[in-house]
Amino acid sequence: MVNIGETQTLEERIKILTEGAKYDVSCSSSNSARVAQKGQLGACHIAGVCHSFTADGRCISLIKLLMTNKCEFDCLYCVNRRSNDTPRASLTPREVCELIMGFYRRNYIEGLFLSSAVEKSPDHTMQLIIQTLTMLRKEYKFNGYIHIKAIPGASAHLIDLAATFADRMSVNIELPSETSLKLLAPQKKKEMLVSPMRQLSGVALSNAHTPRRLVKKIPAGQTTQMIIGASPDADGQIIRLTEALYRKFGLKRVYYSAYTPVNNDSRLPALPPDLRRENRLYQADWLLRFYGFDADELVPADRNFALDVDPKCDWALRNIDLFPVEINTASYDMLLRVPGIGVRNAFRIMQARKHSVLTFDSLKKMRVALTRALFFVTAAGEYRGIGDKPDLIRLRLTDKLPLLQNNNAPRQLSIFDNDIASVLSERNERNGLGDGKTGFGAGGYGAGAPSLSEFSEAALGGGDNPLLEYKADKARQSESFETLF
Amino acid sequence: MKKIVCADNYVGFLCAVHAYFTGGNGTNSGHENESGTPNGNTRALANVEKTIVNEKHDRNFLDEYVFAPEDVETARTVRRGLENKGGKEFYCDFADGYRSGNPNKEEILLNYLKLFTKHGRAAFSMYDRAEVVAFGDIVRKVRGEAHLLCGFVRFMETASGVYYGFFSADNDILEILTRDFVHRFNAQSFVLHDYKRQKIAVWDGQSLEYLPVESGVEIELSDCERVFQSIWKQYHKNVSIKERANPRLQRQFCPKKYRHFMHEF
Ligand code: SF4
Repeated sequence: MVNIGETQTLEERIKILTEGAKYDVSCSSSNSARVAQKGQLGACHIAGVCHSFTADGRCISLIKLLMTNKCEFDCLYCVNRRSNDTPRASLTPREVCELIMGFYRRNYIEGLFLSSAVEKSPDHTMQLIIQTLTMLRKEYKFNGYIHIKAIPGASAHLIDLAATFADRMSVNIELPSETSLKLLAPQKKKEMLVSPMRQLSGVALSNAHTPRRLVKKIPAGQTTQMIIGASPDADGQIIRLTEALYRKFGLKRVYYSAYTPVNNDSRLPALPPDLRRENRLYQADWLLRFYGFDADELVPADRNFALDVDPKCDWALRNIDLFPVEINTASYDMLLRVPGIGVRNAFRIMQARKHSVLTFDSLKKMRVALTRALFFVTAAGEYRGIGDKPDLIRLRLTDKLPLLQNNNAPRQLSIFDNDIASVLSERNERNGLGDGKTGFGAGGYGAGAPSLSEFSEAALGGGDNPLLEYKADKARQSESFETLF
Repeated sequence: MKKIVCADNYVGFLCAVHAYFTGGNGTNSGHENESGTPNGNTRALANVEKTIVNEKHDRNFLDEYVFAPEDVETARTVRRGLENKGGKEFYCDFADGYRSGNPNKEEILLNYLKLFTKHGRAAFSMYDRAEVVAFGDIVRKVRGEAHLLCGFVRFMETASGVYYGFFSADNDILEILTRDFVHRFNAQSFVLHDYKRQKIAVWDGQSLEYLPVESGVEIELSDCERVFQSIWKQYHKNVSIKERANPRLQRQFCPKKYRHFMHEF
């Protein structure tokens, strides 16, 4: 290890520690609504706020820092691994606090994402993080957003203590199977990852019973990240693991990060994966959370997603017999499954058709992506598609992206987060449909569209639902997270 | 066509709305309809074709122009009426719509009100109607820009300890932004300057004031200001992954028109 130690300036150390932290994709500041307190600095917006965008197109919402990049572990894919000959540096809790306050006051950031390499021991590192958070919250009276990494192997009581100060915590799974973990991150054991995740999901659940006046632990829940393409694990396996994480552990987000080769090692691939894989995973993830899809419907466990069309189109083409659906009578669930119709438009279609019969012209006015939708819908009986020809439709829908084109930067884009948050905030605010609300929101300042689970068929006024039958066919046994991983 | 001319401010516009729907023509201040709001029974939709235009609009010889005088009480009546009939959320949307930089905002808002007059709250969800689409667009643009700038505005520490930030925006969002910053920087005094519309918001930790500014603002920066700016610039550069450079995506989310007040660019 190269340790420049005392001779480094603060700026040099920040540079080194940013380099070490930048591969963590999560930078979102959503899902926490900290109310400003008198005499304190900071508040959190439920939708999250982006403060800048980097040259790779990613949002900067939180400042991402490592406390230190001196690591006892030797994970093959990581720049900070012990065996790497890279400059090492650390920041003291005081330095972190001063930096955060300076940045926050200038409106550069929404808060802090603090992570760390494992220095000395997991507990020692976790204690350093806690010390920093205590100082920041109590001494500096900082009320902004804090996301911290739970250090794998840290004691349960330290994780619990950290959760009292943080808005969000994450344990990065990084490798989606135990085999890959053994091979590429030999010091990390499956239990070191699963047990803090299980603990944090319990913490998040207990929030429901926390009286209003008390501060909730990790109000923005927990997230995780997986590296795509460092190991041979297929998208099918990854998306099943994701589904289990959402449904069993109540995770708020799963992030995917296409592997960037930072180390030379024969056990790692020499080239990064096709970046569209990462994009497809984010699209599928979206389908799981907001469109009522199950992982099993999207891709077989041992396969990757199709790269030519997005997962929703792919599903629709494989189930072409369910289409076309009539826009004026289809159920909300079914509308959500039509390529080109998103959550907001499905909701609007349900609303607008109460007043008039919708035509293709209406759909155009509502800005439905007709180039995709027209193959799958009829409007007032009119059909403009090309019939039951999935192969031909597929050709027409193929994304015009050349292979390996680098225009799908990590999609941890705030736009999505804002969307989710507005959906969530609306869920809290709305009690039903047709209640005279206008719903013209954008970003964090207004309402978006309601989420799937919100609306029962009854609330939405029913509609045809070929899905019910389809779903009955697909009824499946749920696998446990532990067996998947 | 009869054109009701309104002053270039929100009160003026509400008064014109009042004149439009009550038949007041500007020669009286129009208190005849107590609720002050559009409803299906007023003389509003009398046969004469009418619309509302901003006083800044060019005039032609063919149309008849009547000025609706500004009157805070009349504006309040209209506001109360809109809130009572449409609900608070509707009124907020309407008021935010007026912050739009769209030169036809008066007409867009009026058309939406006409639809509301006819159908009541059902109008809110007529998403396939051009009036609703146009209204939704201006409101979304205002709020979308405010949400972006809430992150993009940069403050600088001055020698006196007060923080100063400036911006220019397509829509009139100073008040929306200030509301947010007062919340977030409650214990910090700041001045926020919309230099396109030449006005500032001043928050001293206790009270808030909006003031017009004619000329530029002179400030003296604190000693550490440059240091923070330089660390921030360096951070912004370093946190990007070089192998994935994507200026097109960066431009899409952070349009160039805002970058001149963001220190990192
Ligand atoms: S524990 Fe592994 S992934 Fe984390 S910093 Fe150390 S080497 Fe990198």
